[in-house]
Amino acid sequence: MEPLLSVRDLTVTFGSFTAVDGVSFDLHEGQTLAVVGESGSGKSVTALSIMRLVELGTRGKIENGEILFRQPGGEVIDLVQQREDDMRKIRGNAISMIFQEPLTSLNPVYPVGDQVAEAVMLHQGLEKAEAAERVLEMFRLVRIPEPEKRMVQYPHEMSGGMRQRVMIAMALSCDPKVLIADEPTTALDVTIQAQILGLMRDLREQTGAAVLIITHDMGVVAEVADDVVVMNRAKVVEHGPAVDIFENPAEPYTQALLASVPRLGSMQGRSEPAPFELVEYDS
Amino acid sequence: MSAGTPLVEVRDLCKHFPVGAGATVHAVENVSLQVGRGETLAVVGESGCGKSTLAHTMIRLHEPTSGQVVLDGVDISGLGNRALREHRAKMQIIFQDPFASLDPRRPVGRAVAEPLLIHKIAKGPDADEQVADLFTRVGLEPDMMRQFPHQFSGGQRQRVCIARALATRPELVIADEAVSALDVSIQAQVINLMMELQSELGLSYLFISHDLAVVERMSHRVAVMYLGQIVEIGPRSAIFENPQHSYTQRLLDAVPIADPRARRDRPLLTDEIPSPVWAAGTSPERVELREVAPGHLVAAEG
Amino acid sequence: MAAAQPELGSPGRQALRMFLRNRAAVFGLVLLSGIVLMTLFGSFFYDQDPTRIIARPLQGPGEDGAPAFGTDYLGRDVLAGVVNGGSTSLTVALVAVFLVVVIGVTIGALAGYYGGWIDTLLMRFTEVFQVLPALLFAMVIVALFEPSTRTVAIAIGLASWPGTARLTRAEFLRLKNLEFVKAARAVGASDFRIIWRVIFPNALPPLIVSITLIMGAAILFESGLAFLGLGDPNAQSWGQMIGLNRQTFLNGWWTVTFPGLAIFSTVLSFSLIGDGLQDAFNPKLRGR
Ligand SMILES: Nc1ncnc2c1ncn2[C@@H]1O[C@H](COP(=O)(O)OP(=O)(O)O)[C@@H](O)[C@H]1O
Ligand SMILES: Nc1ncnc2c1ncn2[C@@H]1O[C@H](COP(=O)(O)OP(=O)(O)O)[C@@H](O)[C@H]1O
Ligand SMILES: [Mg+2]
Ligand SMILES: [Mg+2]
Repeated sequence: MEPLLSVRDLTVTFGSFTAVDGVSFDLHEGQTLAVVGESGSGKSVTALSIMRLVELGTRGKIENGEILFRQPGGEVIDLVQQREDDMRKIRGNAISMIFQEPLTSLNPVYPVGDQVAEAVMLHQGLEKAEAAERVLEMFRLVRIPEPEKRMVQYPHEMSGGMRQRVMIAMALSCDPKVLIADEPTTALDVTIQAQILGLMRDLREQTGAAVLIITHDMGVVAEVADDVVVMNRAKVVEHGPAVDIFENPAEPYTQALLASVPRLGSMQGRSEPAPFELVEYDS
Repeated sequence: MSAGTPLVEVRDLCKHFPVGAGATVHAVENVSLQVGRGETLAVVGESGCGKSTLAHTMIRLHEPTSGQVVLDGVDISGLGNRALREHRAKMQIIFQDPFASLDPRRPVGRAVAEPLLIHKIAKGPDADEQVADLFTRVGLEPDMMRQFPHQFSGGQRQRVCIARALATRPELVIADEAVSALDVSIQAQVINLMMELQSELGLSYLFISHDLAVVERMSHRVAVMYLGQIVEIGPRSAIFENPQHSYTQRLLDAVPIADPRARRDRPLLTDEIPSPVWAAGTSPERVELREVAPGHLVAAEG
Repeated sequence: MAAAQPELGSPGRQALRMFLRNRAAVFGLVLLSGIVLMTLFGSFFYDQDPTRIIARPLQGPGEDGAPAFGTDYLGRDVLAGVVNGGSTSLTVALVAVFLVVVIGVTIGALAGYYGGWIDTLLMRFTEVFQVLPALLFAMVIVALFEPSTRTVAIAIGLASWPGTARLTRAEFLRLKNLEFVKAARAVGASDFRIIWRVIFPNALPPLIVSITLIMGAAILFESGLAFLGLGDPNAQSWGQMIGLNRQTFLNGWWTVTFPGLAIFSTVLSFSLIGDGLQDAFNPKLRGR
């Protein structure tokens, strides 16, 4: 089947520095693809390139490559070639994105309900009252308790977990085909992370959106991903189904990465603490 | 586990912050714990449960509201400034953000030498020599002394902070989320280093973390905090393999397992931790710990 | 377990609560309200034409037949002047500050948001205005055009916006890289919307503080011009009163002291309010 989103040979530079170097992967309908790698490996830049947000206000430049996106109508377009005006209609609509910091991703001066309503009004041309209805519906979908009360609250009155729910509600409010989540749970406690990951899994089943999740946490990858792209120093080093990557990593880099992942339960039966058995990796 | 008297004993420690309109944050509430010599006690719990406040109050970066901290048999909660400074040398702290805790305009060697000078342990060329030793010990080249923080990677900076913490030859090192901001491969290296140093120097660690998988690797004992209080404390194997308190169980259940075949369907919870802010005249109910096995204490649940 | 959650509410309401807790600021607000009320309605209660000669010149307060604040060098009522003179000062300050906000905020916002050559160009332009001595610049403008209240206000406005432009630019530089601005872009918001609906409201607190202080400065500025005789000769103002009476001030301290006090209290009230707002908007002081 034709992929929903196909990134081909993407290269992004900041001045003379190459942040993303010849990255390719496909994302299919209903699939969850995880992009993993250490900080600075180019994950966020890849995501921002898909949204065409890397060039804005930075020295970032998409040097090369295609980002083919199959629109809801079936027509395939190259996002790299789109004009800013056309991208604006796609962002938050057919492709939406959530960020790492649920505190700073929301505007502190508006009630959260208004911010979600804004997105709905922008893309779906709804009236204020209809938009408010839609917000309520979305808040229920992401299981925000007492949604009527929450709608009129300001971001600082909510916990990190609730704010990330609001961000997810906003991202899903226009029925996106692709949801890009850049480290969506990194700033959250494990208990809240478990809730948000579970929620994202449920929502994917309900809405059918494809999910591109970016994370440095192999535990999160194992929890949600069908396929995994491993990045290191701007390049894709390995790409395959999650089970294969975890059980038979082919590349030394992936092996070294997995060896340093702390795993709950790995110490069962041992009385003394034990160091990690690290795998040497030189690039 | 540890023979003889514990290195640190915290008794009924409370730290409250007034927050306007007569309300009070009960950040740390009646915490009692011990850290044995050469032992790692991990403190786990969700953000805001009081882990950092506990650490800061123990070394008197905050004045305790009440309670005692006994280090090497001396109650440091009542010490005057001068005596306190001497005892501070025995307790050092490493923070989460190694960048924020190093002065960007000074060579890192100076940061490591500073505690030596403050505590009059060494000066001049002697201090330089000790700094070089410390650098080698934490796996850095001694020449790196003259470089600036921005020339280091995150992992190297955290090594510098560890070197600085070790400069006064402390007996207790408090690590407040010291590896949380590092990439896993670097995190694993730093943890291995900390464990190596522990066996070489007989250090005790108070290891604060929200990452239970890391805690399982490197701790001897574990304390679980919830809303400023300890709800469960005991040997690592007891906490991880036989958790008794429902909150400990919830924490463990939430940890993602790095194995796609072990994927579990979890109930979708939406509950949140209540606020630790209390109105004037009200205060949280004090939880009583009872011993369920040797050294394994659990709060009664109502 | 029931814990008491401190009430929060909108950022504006939190700031108001903080402001009302600051005694000096509340005093400033009361003082300013008093001055504004006096300017708006004072003449209903003290119905005296400030331009008419009503008695012997330079009669001190308390002298036989003299009005409460005495008479000036022509024999006009000083109290009537104080009551009516405020309207010129306050109007000029309001119009000037309006101009400052429109010009300064627009230039600062565009420069900060777009950066690059737009920023360079706009900031050069701003610098040109900034290095001009403000008083001299305003004097030239007033001298070139007729010295009406409107000209004075425009002159003060044109001389005072660069600081606001710089402040706005700095705020925009700080805010434009924050995550919620990125998030707004990711939702598909236009530049216009991002500048005015997303970033601008977040830049307001320091702007409001600075505008309050600029109000005070504009009042002083207007007084200065009027003192130098560059005000509207037909509109009585506090500054003008001091200017006209300065020669005879040794024979009648009251002729300059009362209008001087009026200027001082107005400027003081703005500065107290500004300080209060500064604290009120400072999140570090919240919840104390
Ligand atoms: N706006 C920018 N200007 C210059 N360099 C950047 C910018 N954004 C990212 N980079 C660089 O690109 C590389 C990849 O960054 P990023 O994609 O954010 O990494 P991560 O995998 O941690 O998300 C990093 O070395 C980073 O310093
Ligand atoms: N200086 C302070 N003033 C008021 N409240 C504080 C202060 N420091 C911490 N708190 C509050 O105390 C509680 C515990 O905080 P902290 O010890 O930082 O938690 P943790 O380290 O477990 O995340 C939180 O509710 C926090 O908001
Ligand atoms: Mg990133
Ligand atoms: Mg903390």
